[in-house]
Amino acid sequence: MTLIKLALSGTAVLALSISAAQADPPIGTNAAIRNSVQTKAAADPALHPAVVRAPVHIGDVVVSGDKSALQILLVDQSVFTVGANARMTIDKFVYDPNRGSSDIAASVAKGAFRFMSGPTLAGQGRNAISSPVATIGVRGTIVEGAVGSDALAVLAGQPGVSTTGSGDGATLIVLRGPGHTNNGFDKPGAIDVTAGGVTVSVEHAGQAVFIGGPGQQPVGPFYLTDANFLRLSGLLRTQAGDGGTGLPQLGDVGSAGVNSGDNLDPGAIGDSYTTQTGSFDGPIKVTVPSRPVIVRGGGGEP
Amino acid sequence: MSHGILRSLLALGSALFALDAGAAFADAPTSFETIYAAPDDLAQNLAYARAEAKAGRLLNAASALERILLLSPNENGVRLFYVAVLYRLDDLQGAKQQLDALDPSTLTPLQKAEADRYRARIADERNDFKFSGNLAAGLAVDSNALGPLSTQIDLFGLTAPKKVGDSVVTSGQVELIQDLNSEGDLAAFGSASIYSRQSIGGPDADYLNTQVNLGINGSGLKTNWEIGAVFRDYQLFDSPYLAEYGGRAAFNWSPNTSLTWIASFEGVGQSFHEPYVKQFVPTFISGTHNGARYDLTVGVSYRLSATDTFSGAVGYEMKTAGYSPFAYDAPFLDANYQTLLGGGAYFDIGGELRYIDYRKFDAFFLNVRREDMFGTGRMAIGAPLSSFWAQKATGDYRENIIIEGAMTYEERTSKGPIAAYNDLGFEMRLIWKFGDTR
Repeated sequence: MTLIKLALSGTAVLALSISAAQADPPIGTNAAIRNSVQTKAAADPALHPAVVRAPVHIGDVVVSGDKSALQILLVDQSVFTVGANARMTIDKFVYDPNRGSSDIAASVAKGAFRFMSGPTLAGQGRNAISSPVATIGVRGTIVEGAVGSDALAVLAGQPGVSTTGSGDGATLIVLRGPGHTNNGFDKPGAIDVTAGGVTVSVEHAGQAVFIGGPGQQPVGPFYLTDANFLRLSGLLRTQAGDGGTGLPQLGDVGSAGVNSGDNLDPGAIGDSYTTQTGSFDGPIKVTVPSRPVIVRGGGGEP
Repeated sequence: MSHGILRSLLALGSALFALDAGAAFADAPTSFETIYAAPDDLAQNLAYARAEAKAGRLLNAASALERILLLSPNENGVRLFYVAVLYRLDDLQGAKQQLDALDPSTLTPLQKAEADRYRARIADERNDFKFSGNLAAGLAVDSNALGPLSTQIDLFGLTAPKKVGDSVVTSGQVELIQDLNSEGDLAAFGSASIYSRQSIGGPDADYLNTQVNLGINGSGLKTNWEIGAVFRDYQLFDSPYLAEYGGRAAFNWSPNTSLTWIASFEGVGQSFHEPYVKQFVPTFISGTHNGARYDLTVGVSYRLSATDTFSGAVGYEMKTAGYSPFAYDAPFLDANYQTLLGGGAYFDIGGELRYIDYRKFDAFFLNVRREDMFGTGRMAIGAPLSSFWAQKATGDYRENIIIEGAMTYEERTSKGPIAAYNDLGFEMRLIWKFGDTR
């Protein structure tokens, strides 16, 4: 709490490296944990069970088990979710609230992951995530993926993508959004995936890239089938019916949350009921014809 | 009838602004610091998600909801909220998967209705072919029913007498979109709209216009564009008046998520049906109003917040005509402000000023080189029927039916013998939206 206030007040700049990790202040916190997740600091010889609200430092290693996940909330509001069967290390984190910029680098050795950039990361995260065979530059986005055997399992039966001959560190990366037509203030997502000396840019939500192994070039972009996305999602998200963690239920939140209308109406931002019949109509906006209707160039007899 | 429409407008406005005030007090702000300190507090995360979603910061909302669902997977309402956020983030595949994840759950009737509604919307949007539209019907009263139309018919300085008129207003619009590639960033589109006013009291002031657009559009990370053909037909007093046919191109550029620059160009040929004018051709004058019209507009749209948007534009219109005194140049200025009041309700105000400078002295009809100043304004408030229910949502047809009240003002002044006019109008109508309306 002290750190976050300090950082957000603009008096602190976190510019840290793994070598100096031991004395560093925390860069985030364990926000949510599901099932079996262990962590250790860079200098620790052994893993320990992860604890909610425990601080996260540069160099921390996260290891998760089957059907397990950890969400890390970083001080720049970025969120890193480590999914099932994963091993992830935060290698670098830079946050300068004075300049409104941040940068992150994390390496995923295996398993599933999901990353949502904070508002200050845009344009800075050139090498935000790396796997054994690829690096992912983030231009403000939601990106998720899987490394190793999970990547191959997710891609089973994916049209146009062969996993035959794939080796260690095979990596699947999916851009999830925000899409071009999102109606929030978040920047549309885009990532640059580099592997085997080739960089592939992905700018459409739902598109994926696959790298089969060391030295191999990216395959894609392509769209994951619903069945394959379901497998990836199962490594990162819970399902209704999964066991809870013992926290009290919120009850019927629909009456004030989902049903607020603001959430229900996806056209709430950007909808157009204006009187203008020409100037402001984008190609997909809804316009209800209405007065005034101006007939230009008239002056004759009806 | 005019008093009835006015009373209805006032009642609608009062009710909607009361809804907005209630919504403002309902949301207690939850800061990021609060969440960072207690990220496993489900209630705080939900409050934070609501506030961030309402402010348009959807990534923050999504991360808070994901925290809740990791810790408490059986929060069906939260999962449905998560569906809505993913949908707004344009992650349709993710939203569908989360809906599927709700299948084994027992939902309240309203939750089930909303889930079904999202499932249908997502299916529509993932389809390569999209269809949407609206139908509207209502009543209008004008203080000077013939005033706006007299712009079209004022010959020799004559202007219709000022009379109150009541009319039935109906309109409809359909739009079809066919994606041309798998990314959905190139599409063919077609749209058609019709607007009709039929007098039911006062002077006959019927008019009808139809418009058809066909073309292709494309989009990138920060841009979108469209180019296509346009056809319009106008009928005044149940008789053909004008047909326009030509092309239109538009380009939008959004350097950031708040700001969009807009440029458009339209060029159309004009064919008037005016036998009275034609009988002087070629005996007294060299041609008619027939010619071409070109319109260049440059504008900007700025989102002041997630609920407030301002748009403005400047433009230049140029018309040629067979009889050269009918040709003109017309710079104009548009402005519009829209705010969302919660529950799908909206308030919209806008207007236009247009200076029409006719190019040549009219020696036959008016004996003057005509100059007009034309101004219009419209203020509207509307809301879906669902916003009048306690939860501001019903998950059914009531969310697609909007009641709208509007006040319009039109005025023209002119140099020379043409009389000035003004008209104050009130309108109440029901609008039914259908198809994929995003």
